[in-house]
Amino acid sequence: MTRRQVAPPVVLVAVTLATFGLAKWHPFSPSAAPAASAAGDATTGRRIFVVNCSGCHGVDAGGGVGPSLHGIGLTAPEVQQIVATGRGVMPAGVVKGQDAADVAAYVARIAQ
Amino acid sequence: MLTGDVSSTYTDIVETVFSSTIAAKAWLATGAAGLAVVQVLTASRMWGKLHRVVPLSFPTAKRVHRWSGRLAVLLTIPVFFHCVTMLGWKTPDLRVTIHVVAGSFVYGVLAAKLLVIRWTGYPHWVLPVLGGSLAAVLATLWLTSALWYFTNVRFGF
Repeated sequence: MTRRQVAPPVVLVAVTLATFGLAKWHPFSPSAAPAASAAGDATTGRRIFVVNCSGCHGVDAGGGVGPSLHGIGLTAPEVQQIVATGRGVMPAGVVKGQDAADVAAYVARIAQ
Repeated sequence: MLTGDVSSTYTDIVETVFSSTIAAKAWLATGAAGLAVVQVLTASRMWGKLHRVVPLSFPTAKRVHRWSGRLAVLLTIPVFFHCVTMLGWKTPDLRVTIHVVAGSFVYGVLAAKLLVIRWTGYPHWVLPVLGGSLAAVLATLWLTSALWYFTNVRFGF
């Protein structure tokens, strides 16, 4: 086989593996941002929510596959606990650390 | 610091047009999928098929094929950036697992196809197989993302 014949499958595998590696790294994940503070920030939390949670709960948390989060009456620590442990089909740890605190602050605000 | 700035800046830019980055992805992917249909139709015409469905001359079909391909690739770039560099590799359920696996292949198949186009000497079946594979991967990505979003979350910008 000539080099030209081998090149397309080699390039296909190389680019696919590079994409996979970049996806595993995902360098610009909002969760890669350093923690701003110990307490949750609802404004930042909304942004993180839209990226990580809106696929199920809807962009405005009005519900989709997952339930609406408006007026559900949960506090931030309760939301943080649910995020950490998961509930129903929602996996545990969708967001972690400061991101989880920020999302909890946002959800608690709209949950009241 | 930098990573937070990049994701925030991207989100700010996208949200000047769309309600969210997810909505932007769904619509850009829909555009790319639509152009993939154009790609399949014009490629079929160039290979002597679908004369009645695609009443274009060979040079016109070739020109439309090239420009629709370029535009489709452009539309996928923000989607790639958001999916790969911000959301990353996640496998919480079957739909997302199929999506991330198919997504890993899309630019690999595209790169291989572009090489085969530019270099001669390959068997005649290689290019249609690669083109068809690329269209199939794009269709899979659209079905497991944009269609799901439109039918399960919301149909809007």
